[in-house]
Amino acid sequence: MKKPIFLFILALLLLTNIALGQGIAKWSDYWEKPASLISEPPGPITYPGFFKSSALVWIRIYQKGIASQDLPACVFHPSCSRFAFGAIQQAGPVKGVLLAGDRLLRCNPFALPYYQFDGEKLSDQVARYVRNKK
Amino acid sequence: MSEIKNKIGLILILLIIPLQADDLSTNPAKVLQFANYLFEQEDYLRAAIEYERYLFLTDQQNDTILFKTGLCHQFRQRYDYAVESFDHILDNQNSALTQTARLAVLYNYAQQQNWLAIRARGFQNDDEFFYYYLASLKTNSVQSVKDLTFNRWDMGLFEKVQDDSLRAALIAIENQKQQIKPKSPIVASFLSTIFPGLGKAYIDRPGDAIFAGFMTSLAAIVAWQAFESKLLVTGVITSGITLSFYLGTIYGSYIGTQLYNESLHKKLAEQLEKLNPVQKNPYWLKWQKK
Repeated sequence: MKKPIFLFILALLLLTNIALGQGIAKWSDYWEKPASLISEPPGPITYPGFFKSSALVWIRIYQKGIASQDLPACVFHPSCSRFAFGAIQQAGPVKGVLLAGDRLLRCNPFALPYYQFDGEKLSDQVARYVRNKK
Repeated sequence: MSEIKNKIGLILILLIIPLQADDLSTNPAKVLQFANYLFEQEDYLRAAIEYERYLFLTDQQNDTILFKTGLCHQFRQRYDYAVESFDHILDNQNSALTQTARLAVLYNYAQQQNWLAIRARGFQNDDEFFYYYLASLKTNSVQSVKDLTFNRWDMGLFEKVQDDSLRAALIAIENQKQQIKPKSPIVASFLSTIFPGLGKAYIDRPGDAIFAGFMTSLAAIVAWQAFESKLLVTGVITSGITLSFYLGTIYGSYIGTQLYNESLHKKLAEQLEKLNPVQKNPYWLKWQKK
């Protein structure tokens, strides 16, 4: 009896992941930018795929549910979770997770000499690591 | 009788109004006047549209207007359109603006970071040589070590620079460039594969190396302990974290080495920027004053 319920909950969770992931992939840019910087409408709905949407949803859940309970501890701007979100969005789930793992290891007290200090945090943008080939 | 007069007056007004409007949009002189007004007001998008309307109406090669159209696109940071406009000037062999247009094309390509296009254009004078050399420096910074050995800068090219001070400064920068020893991203990845963090030590980041080695080892020990204690869920989660740390360090070492090589060239590019002819004497200043 427990097995079908477990499978049902699992399927529901997967579907929620995909649905939320689509919405997040489409609208995340709008959440991050001030309205004055938005020049183009979000365009048609894109389907980021299961792994990408799952990763994005779990990062968003971490940001809203766990990270919001602590003081901002990350030494970087954007923070590690935002970096991971951006990396997965721009580079895909595989490279994105690798870049996120590397970023977590670079987020340490010895990082100061190697990055630009913007007055409050160390600047380390996703664009440095993810480049669009022309 | 007065009603008829009013009606005739109304009909005349209705006939005149469209004629005036038509005159504004089809009379080249007025279109040009309006475009110049927009240019002075720094409304570059609308100015470009009006200049292009003028070119369409006159159907003639007008290098001055083409140049101003290019400037409009440049000022609104549409460098691709700017290059297109400046390139049209180069179609006319006898144009007085040919040299300035060539420089403008190179400047806009540099803004686009289209270094290969700059190298393909070659150079005809000192100003253009500056961009040719800058493009060489920038393309070298993103090439692999193997490519660099086949793409050495030809020192003989410096003899074509007329200005002695510029030549001396460029040679000094080139000598510094020759001393740069780029590191191999593959070696860095390989070192990180042997032990997490070694690749970071290779690119002079001992702090990152220690932290990466410590954290990856810690995560691996926790995962192993969890499996030993038959804590399956904890084991799977910590194994995932260990794997993402381990593979992340390998990939991070690869990308980090590329960035390290680029940063070495970036310092030279900053020195080179002080010699930029357009930086010293912007070619668009006299057009703005008009």
